[in-house]
Amino acid sequence: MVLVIDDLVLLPLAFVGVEPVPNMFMLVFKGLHKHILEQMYPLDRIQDAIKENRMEFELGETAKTDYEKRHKDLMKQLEMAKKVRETVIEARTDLLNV
Amino acid sequence: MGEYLYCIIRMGETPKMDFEVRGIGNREIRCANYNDLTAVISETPLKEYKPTEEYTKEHKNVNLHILENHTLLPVAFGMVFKNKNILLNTMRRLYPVLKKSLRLVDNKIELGVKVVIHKELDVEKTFGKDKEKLRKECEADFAALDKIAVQAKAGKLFSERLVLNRSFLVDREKIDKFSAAVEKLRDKYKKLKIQYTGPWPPYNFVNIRIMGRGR
Repeated sequence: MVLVIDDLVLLPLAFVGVEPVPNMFMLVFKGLHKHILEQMYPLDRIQDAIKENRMEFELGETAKTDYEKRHKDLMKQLEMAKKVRETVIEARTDLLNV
Repeated sequence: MGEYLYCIIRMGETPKMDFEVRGIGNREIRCANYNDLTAVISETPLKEYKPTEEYTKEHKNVNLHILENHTLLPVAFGMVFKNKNILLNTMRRLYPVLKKSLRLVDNKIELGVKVVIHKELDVEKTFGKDKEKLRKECEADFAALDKIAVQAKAGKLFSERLVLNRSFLVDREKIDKFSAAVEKLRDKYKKLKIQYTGPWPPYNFVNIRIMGRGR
């Protein structure tokens, strides 16, 4: 839902150009955009989950196969989160020429 | 081919320089010397190393092997140099920092202690607001370990089950004393899990990251 609002509002800006948009307006959108990314692709939380999974394996609470499966999933999530952030931020920078 | 860097040690510190361990991609471990320092390296294809389970394990194994007989400066995972000359130039440039860091960790290792709430307990239900009280109590008791160590550092509480996460830089001669102190605390905190790990290279006290990207 939040992403839809973000995209819908930002999209027309690409067509009208950046110049007429006041700086404060852009700042709000940048802040909102950053917040959405953090909610949807929480790098910190994924990294914490990787460490927690490792800790549980080392404590003998998780079987090796389960540990490896979860580790693989989390690494995929981490890579995706990094990729999406880089891609979206680059695209926005290009789109808004800022 | 490039050179993958694992750690830096003092040259000729001990005569045992025939490393019985293989590096990343099962490659032979070699040395590159600058002045009185030795970089522990292996030949590697020039590429970016992703921190996969396999690669990080290989990187860690090399450092753990070297740690058995040397004081070492661990280098962050994934540090690849285009060739030996660039590596040696970097060592020349960083020589004072490397020497200073080596002095800091001389004859010392890192030990880790985590205090963890049992998995089957619901943290919120069981502890609620008391969790903070428990954390403070733990911190006060575990401060006894700080006194044995040369340095101590608090780590991130990355799980809600974690009450305490601390790394210690300890003199090799004091490992037994430190372990005995941990066991004493284990007795006191029987209701919690205490994870005591090490010896590790002093990752949390010196960790060389050259040219930006690290672990």
